[in-house]
Amino acid sequence: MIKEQSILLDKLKEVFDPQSGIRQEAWKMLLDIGLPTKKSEAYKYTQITNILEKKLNLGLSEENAFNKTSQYETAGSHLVIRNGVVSKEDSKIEDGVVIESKEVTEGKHDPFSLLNTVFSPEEISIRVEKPSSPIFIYHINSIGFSNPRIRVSAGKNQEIDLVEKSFNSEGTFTNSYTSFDLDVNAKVSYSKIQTYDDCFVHETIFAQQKRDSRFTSNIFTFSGTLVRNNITINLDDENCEGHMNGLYLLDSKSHVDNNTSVDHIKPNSYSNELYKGILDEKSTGVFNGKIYVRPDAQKTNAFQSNNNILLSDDATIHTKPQLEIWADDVKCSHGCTSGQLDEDAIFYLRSRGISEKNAKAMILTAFASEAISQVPVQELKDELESLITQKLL
Amino acid sequence: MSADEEILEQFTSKEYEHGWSVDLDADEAPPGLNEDIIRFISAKKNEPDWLLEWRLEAFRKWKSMTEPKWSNVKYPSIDYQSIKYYSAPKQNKAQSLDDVDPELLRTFERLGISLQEQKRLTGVAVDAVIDSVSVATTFKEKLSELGVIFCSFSEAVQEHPELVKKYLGSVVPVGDNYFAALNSAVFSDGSFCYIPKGVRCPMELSTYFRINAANTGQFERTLIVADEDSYVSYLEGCTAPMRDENQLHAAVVEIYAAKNSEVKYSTVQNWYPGDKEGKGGIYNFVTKRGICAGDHSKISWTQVETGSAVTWKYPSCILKGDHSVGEFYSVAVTNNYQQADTGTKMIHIGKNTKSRIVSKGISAGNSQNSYRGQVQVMKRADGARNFSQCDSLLMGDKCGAHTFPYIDINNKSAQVEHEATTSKIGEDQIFYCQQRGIDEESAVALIVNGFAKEVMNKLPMEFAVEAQKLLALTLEGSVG
Repeated sequence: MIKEQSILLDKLKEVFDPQSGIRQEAWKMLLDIGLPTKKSEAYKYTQITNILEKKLNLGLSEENAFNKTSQYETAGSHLVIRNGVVSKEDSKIEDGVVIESKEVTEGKHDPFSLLNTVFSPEEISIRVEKPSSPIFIYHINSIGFSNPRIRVSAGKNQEIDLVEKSFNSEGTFTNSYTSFDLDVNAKVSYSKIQTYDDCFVHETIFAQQKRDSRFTSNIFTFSGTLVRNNITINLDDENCEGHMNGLYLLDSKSHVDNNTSVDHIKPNSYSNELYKGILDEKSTGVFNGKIYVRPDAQKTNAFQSNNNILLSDDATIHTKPQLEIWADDVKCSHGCTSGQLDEDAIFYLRSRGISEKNAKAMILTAFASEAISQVPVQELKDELESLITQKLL
Repeated sequence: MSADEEILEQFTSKEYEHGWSVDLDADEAPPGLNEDIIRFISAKKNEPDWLLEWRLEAFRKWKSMTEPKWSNVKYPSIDYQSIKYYSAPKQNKAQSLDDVDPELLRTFERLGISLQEQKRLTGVAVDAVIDSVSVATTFKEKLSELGVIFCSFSEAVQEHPELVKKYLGSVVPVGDNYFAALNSAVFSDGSFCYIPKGVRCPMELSTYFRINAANTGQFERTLIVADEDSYVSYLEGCTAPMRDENQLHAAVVEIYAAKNSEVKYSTVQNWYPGDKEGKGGIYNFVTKRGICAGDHSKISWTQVETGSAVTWKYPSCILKGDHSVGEFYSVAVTNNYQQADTGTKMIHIGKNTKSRIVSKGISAGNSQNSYRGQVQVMKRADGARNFSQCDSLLMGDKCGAHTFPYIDINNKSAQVEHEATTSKIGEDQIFYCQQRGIDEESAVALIVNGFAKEVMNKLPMEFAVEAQKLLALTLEGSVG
């Protein structure tokens, strides 16, 4: 264990209560690898350990903004999770959707996943027995340190659409872990809106795919003091598809770090990634997209794109699109851009009687809309559109 | 498939063409590194006190540093105490070519760059460097008429100490990184070039490097200073004899470009890459950096990297002056067990600065080829513009291509684009050529040359021929 990390881990040790072998093992592993430091390449621009050392308040328990109107008024299953525990009385689950609280199983081995394994109150297992409407998940995180853990299993030929929203109280740290197991020909979409107040969030999303399956993640971030999204997709079989879409539309001092990774392990798979960012005021955006193509993964097609617009001189973007390729018969590309609004386009609109403010909003909305076009659930799409308009006007 | 394998076999079994060793009676320092060795080198070169102090400071910094581990290359750890830090051919001063050791001249002839030929035909002034000490400098008089200073580094220290003192370490400080600090402490020689105000250097300046005595680390130091309104094109080329042990090369190149000046730096690097099992070969850990200090200045790096077992090299530009321009064009070819981690850094500080990066990586055999680059736009760098393109071509299924571009933008008016692709030579492309009567091998050469053309076009005439030959030699008939 490295000395400088011990502050946070020591603090956590006071509340650590080893319940099972897996948690104990995870704790040992965590002590071994330690939390990311300033020098950790993956957390270079997001000093999460430092911030948590100062800000983490384990005793905190706050009021929460969540209420009945926060839910979507639509058919489908509505699952309410309080601080990582299923709240049966608030939830409304349709027939054919099975929600179970289980003891944690082994997860990924990076520091924050391990942290979740150690401290998560339960593993919420989601599976469907027959075709279902979308499943809406509401997280209410009101204690200082919560570790929600969800495991979604999509069986053979099943299709599941999930929409997730979190209501995090001020000053809290939420370290969530959501994993997906996709069986043959399963199709899963996972969409998440992140509108956080002054709180800290670390999310791990991990998908493991089998033959012919398709996984799509749509992550939309509008605010948050510190938000880190780790998305990993393992295309562990032939003919899989992995899609990652994202939008970060930030102002004030928001800091959002999207760290994505898609691993092509077997041949003939396809992945596509599109992240768009609009950064205003003193916000910071970080994007790190990794594509791995393993030696066996011939005939891989992998594409990645990250476009950013900076609206203020105090805004910052760090982007690192990374390709690691060990197979020759592949088509891989990535592109990333950063720029400001096109003066000509604004002039064009203004010369036609549109105010500068509206002209800018129009251009930015068009820029952002590409990232939301893939969202499968109409209610969410509507909400996103109104959020974007609200933010830009 | 079998045809492919046959071609691959032919290609991988190719011996290193420039591999042999001449026996020059070297004047060597004992292996090891300590302050005494540094004093020995400094005394040997009759250096002023400030330079010795400078070296010692670098050495102290180096001792407190650790070898960087972040690069995407693997090599056995280097024992810095087993390296000889000084080696010079006995005959170290020559007034004319007649005074030069005939064996040395034959070496150059075998490389196809005989000094006479160069002098007579191409008009290139060659500062030939063998094992760290400059042996002959041609066209010096012609250059001095214009006030251009082009000489070996040790000569510059003796004759133009004020210039050396002013600019040495101004772009790459002594403690910049591990290998730069090592170089600063023990550098033996190199080239110095100064272009005075308003002078357009009439010829391409060129240095040929060779590593010759076994177990000698080559620590070259190059310093190019372009004063206001001047222009210079500088060529650096390398070939090395076959060796079984790995040899360390940690060079430093510094370029200083004043207002309205332009410096073009071209490299063809073909050091011994190790045999086909990955044994031996040169470790090439180079720090190259230029600063566009004045407004409207320009620095352009062009490199063709075909040799070395391990390459670790990032020619960079600090764009400090307003409207300054930085360029980086690179072709990196790796084969067998070669590893290359190369790229550039463009630091935009001044207003309306522009940079352009074109990197082409070609990997074959079991090699690993990485592009690692950074584009940084500072807060005050209004109107910065960058375009980066890095393409990789893979030949065979055991090699790897990696891209690590870092893009850090702190100014809203910056316009930055980056794109990268990875692919192999298409069967349809080969088929198209074959259909028109071009055999497979020529087709591959044709396609590879086309792939790298954008960079090759940036090379000066003298180098373009050599570089194309090298590329064809290294890669012709790889894989369909």
